Amino acid sequence: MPSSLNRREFLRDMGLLGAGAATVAALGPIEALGESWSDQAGIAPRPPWVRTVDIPTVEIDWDFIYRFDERNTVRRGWSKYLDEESFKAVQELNSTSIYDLSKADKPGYSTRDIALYRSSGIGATQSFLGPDSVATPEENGLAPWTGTPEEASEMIRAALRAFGAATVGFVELDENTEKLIYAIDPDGKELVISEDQDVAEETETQRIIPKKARWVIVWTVQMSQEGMTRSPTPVGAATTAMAYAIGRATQSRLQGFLRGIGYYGLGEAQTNALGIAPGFGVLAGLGELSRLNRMISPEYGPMVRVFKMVTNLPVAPTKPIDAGIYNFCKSCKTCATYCPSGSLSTGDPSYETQGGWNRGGVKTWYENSLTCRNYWAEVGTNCGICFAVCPFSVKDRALIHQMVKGTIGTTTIFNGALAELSRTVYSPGKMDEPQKDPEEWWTLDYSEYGVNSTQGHGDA
Amino acid sequence: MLFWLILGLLLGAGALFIQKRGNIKLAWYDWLLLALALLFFMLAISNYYASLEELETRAASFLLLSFGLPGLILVAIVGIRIWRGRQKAVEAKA
Repeated sequence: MPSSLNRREFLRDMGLLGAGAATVAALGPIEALGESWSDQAGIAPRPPWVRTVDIPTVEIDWDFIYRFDERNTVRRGWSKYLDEESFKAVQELNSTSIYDLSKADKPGYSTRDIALYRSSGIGATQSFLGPDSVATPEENGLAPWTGTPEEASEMIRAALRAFGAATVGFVELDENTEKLIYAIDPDGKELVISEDQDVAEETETQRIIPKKARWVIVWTVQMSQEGMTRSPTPVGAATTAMAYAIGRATQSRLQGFLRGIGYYGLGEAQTNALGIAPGFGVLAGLGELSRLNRMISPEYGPMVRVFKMVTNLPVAPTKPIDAGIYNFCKSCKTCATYCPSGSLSTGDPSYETQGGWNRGGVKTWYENSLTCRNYWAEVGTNCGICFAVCPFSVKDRALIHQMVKGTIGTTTIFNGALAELSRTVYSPGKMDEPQKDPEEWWTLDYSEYGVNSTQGHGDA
Repeated sequence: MLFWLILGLLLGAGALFIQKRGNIKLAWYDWLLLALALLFFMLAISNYYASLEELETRAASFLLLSFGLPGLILVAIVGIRIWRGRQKAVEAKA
């Protein structure tokens, strides 16, 4: 090999360098495609394997869907599904188990763990109409904000992200999607969609949504993977409580913002009120329905809480997505396998419901909410093991996660193997125990709220 | 960033070493195998450190092994080919 270059060799090497540069440049558009891919106003760019679709990946029979009474969920209607004696027993267990486990020196149930759990939910209040502390444009002598629905979507996404939301989507209410609004709120008030009324109102017995308010803003709030992986201990449950608290704050802020630009937002009067969160999340393209019978997002997996708000601000709806998640759940049964109460389905998706707490009309994996809730009473928390062990509950620093998600979004043939691999590598613990040491959590250099707020986003 | 800079310098030095040593002759498929090995090593190192940052030590070890081992095998194949080539050259001279 020559130790010095003549002109021909120099030109040859430059040619090779140029070929290398051209290869890199050729690869560039792939990256650029991933970064710039977005055909929907108001939704953040996503990787190419997250495809938008016209109908959700989960099958919905809208003829069988009706406006559900939220009090039929086990969250609110626990006593409906047990005889008086059994209910009394689980209630007693529910109020004492956390302290009994603490006294028995169960790891993750120390005094400080319980204090963390109990205090994580403290935060903003929430209401249907929202706070009136922000002046309307009229009150300030200003004109209301005007713009196209696309501009409105973009604006709401920016505001919500600043308020603490992770991802944001939009659904237009029509004769079908309207059925995802509850008929009765958790506190027994009727949710009335009124053609006669232009102004939203709350009375002693009703919450009135004007028919003119035709759009639903849907957003997610991240939960901490590092926290949740300590489920079912109070350390694990603290992140759920925290996400709900952040959700309440984002709701009130969004209501204030909408009021400030001359519109209104009608929110959840309390946790899980107003409408079916996973349903709206799926329709808005924030994720897909899963074996958990909850929404799994491509960015955070199930590590989110979903919130929604009805508004009279015309926004551009976002489409459902197909990122291969629903199909992956058909092969992966990790959540159902690890569920200590056996509440999750190990079978194929079906229209067959498990009890009065399921509304039906969706071909999904219906869960046994009663056995799930009873297990919560046993462990004194809201469990969360199924969320913690889900293969999509991963952080995004390692390149492997994008490689795996890209594979899942492209083909189904590796789904079974990838699920098995995930169990081996990320969830090696026993099924009814935390996957990581709860005591170790107290020694971590924890990020704000335990989440990576840049995960799934390009700009800081 | 510093890691990739150091890696780039090491790779450059390695390429220069091969170029300067005229007695190492590589076929085009040797370069291909080395490029693949390099890709595996980069994936192994990248995923290892990123998994440690994620506090996933089990995943870190697993990924280091999963990507590192194929890389080592590919380098070994090229190494054995070079060694055999030299042996043949020595035998031919003798």
